[in-house]
Amino acid sequence: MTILKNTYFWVMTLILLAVVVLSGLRIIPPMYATYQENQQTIADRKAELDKQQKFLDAVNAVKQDEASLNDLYTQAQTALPISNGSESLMLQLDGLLKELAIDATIDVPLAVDNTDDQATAQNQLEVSINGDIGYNKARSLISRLKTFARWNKIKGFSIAKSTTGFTTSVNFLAYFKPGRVPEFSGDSNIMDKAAQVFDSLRSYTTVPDSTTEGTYGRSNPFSL
Amino acid sequence: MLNLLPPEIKSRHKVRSKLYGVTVAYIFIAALFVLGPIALGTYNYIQNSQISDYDSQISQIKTQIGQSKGLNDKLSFLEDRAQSATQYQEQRSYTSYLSTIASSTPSPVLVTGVQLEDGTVATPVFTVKGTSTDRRSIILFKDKISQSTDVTGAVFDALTEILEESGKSFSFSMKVTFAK
Repeated sequence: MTILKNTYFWVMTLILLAVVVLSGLRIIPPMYATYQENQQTIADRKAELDKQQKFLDAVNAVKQDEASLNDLYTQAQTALPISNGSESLMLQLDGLLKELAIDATIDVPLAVDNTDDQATAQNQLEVSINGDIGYNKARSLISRLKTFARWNKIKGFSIAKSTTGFTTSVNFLAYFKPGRVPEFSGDSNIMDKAAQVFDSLRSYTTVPDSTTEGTYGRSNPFSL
Repeated sequence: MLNLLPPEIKSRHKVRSKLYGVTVAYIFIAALFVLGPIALGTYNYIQNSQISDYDSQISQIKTQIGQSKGLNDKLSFLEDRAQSATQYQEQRSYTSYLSTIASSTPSPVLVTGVQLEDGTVATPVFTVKGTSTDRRSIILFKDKISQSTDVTGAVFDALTEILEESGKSFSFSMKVTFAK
């Protein structure tokens, strides 16, 4: 007599095997799926942690040189403000023309559609400078607009010489960008990159500040 | 070699051998289906604690970042503006176009007007107006400017003769298209 010839033995073996295999098949796949899901979650969290750490490092690095950040921030605000900034633009252009010794008329629209709605917003000012401006000065003006503190694009210009002098006009678009900005990416080279962009820009005036400049209070504002 | 063992012992050996095989298979299957889930369960537990660890580190960093909100806002603004430069800042050098026109002007030609019609198009077109004492120099002007690497074409709009008391002169109007 041998156990291998025992039917009871084989029936019990098969039942046991079936129970083990079936319960294994029921338990293992979901566990394996969880394992794989967790692997993915860990990879995502690791990437997120790296990103956040990079972000924090960048913020901490900037904290060491907050003065430079403030300077660049002011330059960025001037270059592409959130509102039309017509008054500031006029003062900037006034300063530029004075420096080039150009006597010309500056035409800057004071009110434009500056809504957040990108579909209807113009987000640009059509500026024109007109006057008796000779070729060399007109050339200098066009050249300076390229590095002007307020970003702009030339729309057109005309330099015409007549017997009485020059009739020159330079038309350009000065931009502004309302709305929220995307979150900082954590780029550790942000200061260098921003300096590359903004340091070449030239401002021809300072922002008017009624708290520190000017004298106020007149008994008769109709007479000097 | 002859196997002199009695058949009964031989048969017992065979049975033992088969029983051994069955036992091994048994253990193997049991190990696979019992130890497998145990191992996976342990892995999952370790993974969950790793995830919690990452979560707490991320949360700590976010708290630290949140403490510098003003700085973050400035950095966000700065980054956005720095990335907007190509879109909003003039990329063309119009003075180099003027230089091309000036360097192509022959001696007798006097330019009286230069006009850029539309700076927003891909290939800017300039209208150049002027006068000269002879037609030849005007043609030379057009040929010379056409040879510039940054010019894609130059065509006359008008070339007219002007009779004055001082003598004959010629006026012209030419459209010059620049490459970009």
